[in-house]
Amino acid sequence: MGVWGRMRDFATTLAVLVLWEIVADYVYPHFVPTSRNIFPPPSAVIMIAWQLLISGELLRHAAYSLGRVLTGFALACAVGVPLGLSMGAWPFWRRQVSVVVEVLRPIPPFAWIPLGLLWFGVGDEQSVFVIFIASVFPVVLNTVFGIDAVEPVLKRSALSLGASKWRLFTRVILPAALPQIVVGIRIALSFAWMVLVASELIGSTSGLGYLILDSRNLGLPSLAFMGMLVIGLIGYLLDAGIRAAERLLLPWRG
Amino acid sequence: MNPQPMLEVRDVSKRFVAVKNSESVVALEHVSFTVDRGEFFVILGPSGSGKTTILNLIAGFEQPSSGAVTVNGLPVSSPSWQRAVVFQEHALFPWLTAWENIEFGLKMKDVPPGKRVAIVREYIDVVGLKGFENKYPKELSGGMKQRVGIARALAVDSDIVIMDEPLGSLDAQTRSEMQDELLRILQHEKKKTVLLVTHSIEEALKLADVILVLSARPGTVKKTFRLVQPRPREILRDPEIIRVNVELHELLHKAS
Amino acid sequence: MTLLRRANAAGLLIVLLVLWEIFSRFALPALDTSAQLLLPPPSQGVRDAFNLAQQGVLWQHAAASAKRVYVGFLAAALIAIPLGIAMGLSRTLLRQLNPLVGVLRPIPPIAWIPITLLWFGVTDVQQYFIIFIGTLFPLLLNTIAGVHGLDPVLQRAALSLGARPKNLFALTLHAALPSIFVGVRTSLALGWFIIIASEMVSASTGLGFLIIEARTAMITERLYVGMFAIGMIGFLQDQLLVFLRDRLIPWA
Repeated sequence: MGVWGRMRDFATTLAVLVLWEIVADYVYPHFVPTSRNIFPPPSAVIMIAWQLLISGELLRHAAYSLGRVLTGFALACAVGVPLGLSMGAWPFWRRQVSVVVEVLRPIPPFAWIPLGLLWFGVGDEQSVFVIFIASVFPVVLNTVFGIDAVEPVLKRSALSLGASKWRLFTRVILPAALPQIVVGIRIALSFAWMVLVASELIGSTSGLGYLILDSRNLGLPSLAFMGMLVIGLIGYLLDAGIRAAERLLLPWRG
Repeated sequence: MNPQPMLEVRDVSKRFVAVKNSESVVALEHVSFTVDRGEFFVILGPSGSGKTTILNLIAGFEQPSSGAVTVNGLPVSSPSWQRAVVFQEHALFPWLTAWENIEFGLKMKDVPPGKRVAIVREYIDVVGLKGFENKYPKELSGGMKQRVGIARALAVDSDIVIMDEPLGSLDAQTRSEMQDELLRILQHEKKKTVLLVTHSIEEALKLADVILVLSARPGTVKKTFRLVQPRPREILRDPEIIRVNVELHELLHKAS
Repeated sequence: MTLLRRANAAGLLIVLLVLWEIFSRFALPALDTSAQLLLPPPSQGVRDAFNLAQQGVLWQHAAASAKRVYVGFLAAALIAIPLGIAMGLSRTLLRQLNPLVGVLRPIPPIAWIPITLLWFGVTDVQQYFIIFIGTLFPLLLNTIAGVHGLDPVLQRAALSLGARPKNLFALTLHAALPSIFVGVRTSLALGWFIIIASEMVSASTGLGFLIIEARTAMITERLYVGMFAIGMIGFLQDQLLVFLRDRLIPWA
């Protein structure tokens, strides 16, 4: 396709950016004098991104956010995967837990935020808590799903080759269920990231979500834009990271 | 006096160019044959012999690199209901019932509703799907789906019916039954011209008036056989058919 | 599962509820007089729910939230579905818009709240926009996938039966319906998630507001009420959608 063809794909995007810059810099101010405050041009966004980058602030807040996400997310996996596995192993246990899960699952993770604030106050723990809640359900459900989906043929052939129950579990069922478990992890991560932003918007004094919130107080919409884009970027990178890890750890997956 | 043949394939070649490396593959080379009105013409060949390509050219899905294809005297340049196709994967529209699938071509031809109902009902009967006309494809078995596909192609009353390994996705038992069914169904059609593509020798022997053997890579005409025995045939008993059977096996073995 | 089996399976749930009730009613006050504010017993939640329902307050808030979700969703659908079809059919359009979608999509809808507050103020329009931006992308992507998912054989079958270009268009739409429906289901569920957070930040009505107000007023059991009300609505909505799907596209 060539470099030229690749660049052609960005034609519309470029046009949008240029238009945005022109409208924000010249058209809008013409009609609304104080407009610069509401509709920042891309140049302003880039400038403030640069400023925060070199001052280290951007990285600092990003680190806070990432830290919370990864903590909550890791907890969710640490709890969710074993729980899901146990549910896969014992049908009675599974039925019981399923009911509880089905009752709790429809509650939007955001709705747990006030409870989190109540129990943990403003700060890290509240974020981690809500992130945990948001992430744990996809992990549990997809783990169970993954175990369900293991083809009976695989189990039977392993048993007929003399595998013990434990071996069967660790050597056959687990690897076979792994792809689906990873799907659950990916979904959980995207939920976690979404919820993080909300929890920081509502109850935090640091982090990227807080940064966006602060933009309002500071009257700097370009900061909000920048924050949004950075959040989007990190979210994308996290997902890409998991996909890359999956390719590395599960190379047999077509 | 010989009436004008229904289908004429004249010195047709087809070359494919791979986009990635600009290598070209010659799928067909100087293929010529004619199909007369009312004939059951079978193109027999191993996989990769270009028989699907020929079919695509005749149906109008693709154009030959050189040579010409004419149906009823007119050159083929695009798909048309005059060359209705029965596909191996039945290709039934999942959102339409069996009835509506069969009705599809008639709707395209703007056949008035009253006539449509009559025709569809007739074909549901002919292919033996009475009672299943309101089922969706997902509710039908493989054999039933293929019956719908056949009925759908026949309902439009085309010049020629093209069948692309129509029984290929069926299990051996159903396939054998469907071959007999196909003969029965076609008896209902007055002298329909049928072009069927297959890799099954047994199928060719059971159904064909003319068998054209295609060789592989590139596809060229190896040999043509004409069978005059009335159908249904005892392909394991008739000495003439047995002779053809043996020769076909040899040809196919060498061809692939 | 039969009813009895269902009831049996709820065993763990019931045990947990009972434990919670006992713990909250008796153990907590013993520890600290105000501890119960942190974890009121479920019975109190039920009572509060009844009160709110009776006063009509619950329904009002639910309706306010629902209006925002559905208006925002409708706006998104009106754009996402036609655009998705166009992008599915035109490679060029898809490639051109891909970078824009790629940049905007990962941004969590919640992150849009401050900027939209700046643009629209604390109004319903601001809420509509948040839902709009949140539901746009799942719908768009699912629609594109639906169009792409059309089996090329079906196109050939239609052509060989005399179909003309306009028929082919109807064909593509039909084939894309199941995927579009998945998009609708996903985005409506997402919409309910988002509206809660959005209302928690900047609204004076709605279930999200109810929850945050409950916290401020320290009526903790109301938190449960709000949470469950939302969960229940989301669940019912999904059931309704499944019902609709079985009616509208029974062939899928």
